[in-house]
Amino acid sequence: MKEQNNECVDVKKIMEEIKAEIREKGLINDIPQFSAVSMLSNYGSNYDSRLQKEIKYLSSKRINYDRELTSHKSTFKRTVIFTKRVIRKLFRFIGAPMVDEINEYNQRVARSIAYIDGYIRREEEGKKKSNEKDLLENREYRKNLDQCNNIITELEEKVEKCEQKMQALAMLEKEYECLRLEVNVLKLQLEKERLERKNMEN
Amino acid sequence: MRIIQIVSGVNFGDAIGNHVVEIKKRLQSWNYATEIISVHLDKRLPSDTIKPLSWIKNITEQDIILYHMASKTPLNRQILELPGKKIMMYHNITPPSFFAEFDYQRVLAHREALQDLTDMKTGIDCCIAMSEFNRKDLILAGYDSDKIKVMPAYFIPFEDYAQQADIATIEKYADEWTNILFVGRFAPNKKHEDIIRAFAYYSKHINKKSRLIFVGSAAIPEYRKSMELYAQQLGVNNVIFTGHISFSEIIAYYKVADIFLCMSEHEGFCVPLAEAMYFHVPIIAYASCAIPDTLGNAGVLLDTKDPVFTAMCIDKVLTKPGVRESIIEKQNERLKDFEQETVAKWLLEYFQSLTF
Repeated sequence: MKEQNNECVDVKKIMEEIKAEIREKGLINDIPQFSAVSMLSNYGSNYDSRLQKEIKYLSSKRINYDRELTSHKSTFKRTVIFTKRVIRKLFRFIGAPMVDEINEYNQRVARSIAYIDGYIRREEEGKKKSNEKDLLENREYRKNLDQCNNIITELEEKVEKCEQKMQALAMLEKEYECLRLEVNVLKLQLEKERLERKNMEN
Repeated sequence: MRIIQIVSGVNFGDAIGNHVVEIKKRLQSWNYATEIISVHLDKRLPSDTIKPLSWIKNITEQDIILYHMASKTPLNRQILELPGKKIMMYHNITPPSFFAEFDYQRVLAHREALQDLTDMKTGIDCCIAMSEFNRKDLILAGYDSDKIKVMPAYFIPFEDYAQQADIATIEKYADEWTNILFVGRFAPNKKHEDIIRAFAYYSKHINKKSRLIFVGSAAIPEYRKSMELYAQQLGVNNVIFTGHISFSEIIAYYKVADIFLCMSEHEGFCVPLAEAMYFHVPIIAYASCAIPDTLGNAGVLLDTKDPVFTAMCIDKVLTKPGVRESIIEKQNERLKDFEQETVAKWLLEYFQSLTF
């Protein structure tokens, strides 16, 4: 018997019924998505601060072609530094433009990352606001729907009561009509009896 | 001819570990000479079960290598240099995009693993996919579809599930409350957030006396942490994060579960589904990746992640007369396909059919 019952259960049909029930009852999802709240998590804020640190480093870091020259050798230290200076001066026409280009490149990378970061933040903010708005709208909609449902229920109750009264009145009306007819019949009988008596007296 | 299984790691009790060890046992019972070579050795396994990587030098041209592909490892390239015929058993690689928000190192590792998979196709003679979904993955990576066979299931040691469940856990959770269970490590592809979201609706609007139980270790700690925060932000209190627990406790959680809810978006097979079937827990799962293949005609497959719909499905399965029983009946039928003897028969026929 149990097996027979089980065979009758159609999961797909039940799922369709559930979908229809959701539509009919107007059930609304009021649970925000993970993506809408994840940016508020501690993990997100750590991630942000790490990214900010990296952008700050990239923006502030500049390669200096004329940086201070040093030597680890205690003897000939001055000679070594002097030689390095000569080499640097000799290669300035190649090295300096390259360093400038690298600096320019690094700055642009930093700016691009900052733009991307800004874009992501704006998008996330927009998404968050839109989710909040959706949630509020959902709540507002739900509230309005509840109010409408209450009014409909009240009106339905009133209509029902009026209909009951009308039914009662209709019954009374029928009763009244019956009585009126009965009175008319009785009146006719009375008239007839009076006429008969008058005839008898004459 | 020997059949040498090569795998990056064999862990005691995990799905691939159990599978690899059982394949060795079966091959030995069919009189094949066989060995397992692994980089990482689990001390809980008998010492003679696994050979270290240095054993690789003993492989000859007459051997068949059964390589288990599941992640980024230097072995992916190394095995192509080895002599002998090569069969790849593909367990699936999770797409890197799932990890982007939580673990960039994993993004790189999975990207490289997928690159390895594509690059390896010229050196692999044939493949065994662990599901139809995995077979499609291999075809997308450029493998010849004629050389791919789909194994019916993993070797799942169901006999181990008959052992004693943890009594304390059963006493704690076997009450009038509804227990919704998911078993799986915390990784973004498993989509724990969608389970929390559906549960939030269910516990708020349908059944306040319900709890959600997550069994699984924190593979990505940031993800697990963000799930705890998400549950807090939604004001859902009855969510239990068990963390890594003993096998007897896992059994206990299956025994007290009323529903197994899975919202995962990437699975190569999903062994916990078979476990839920074994413990007669009705399954509700989102239809994606290998999940429809694994469930077959059983369980309830959702075509949407809408929390209202999911919550109402949970309610119907638990309250509508006959639904739960019908689902379990179909699950029991499906479970027969995962019996070790069925899988073993397929494997023997596969090796017998090899022409090299």
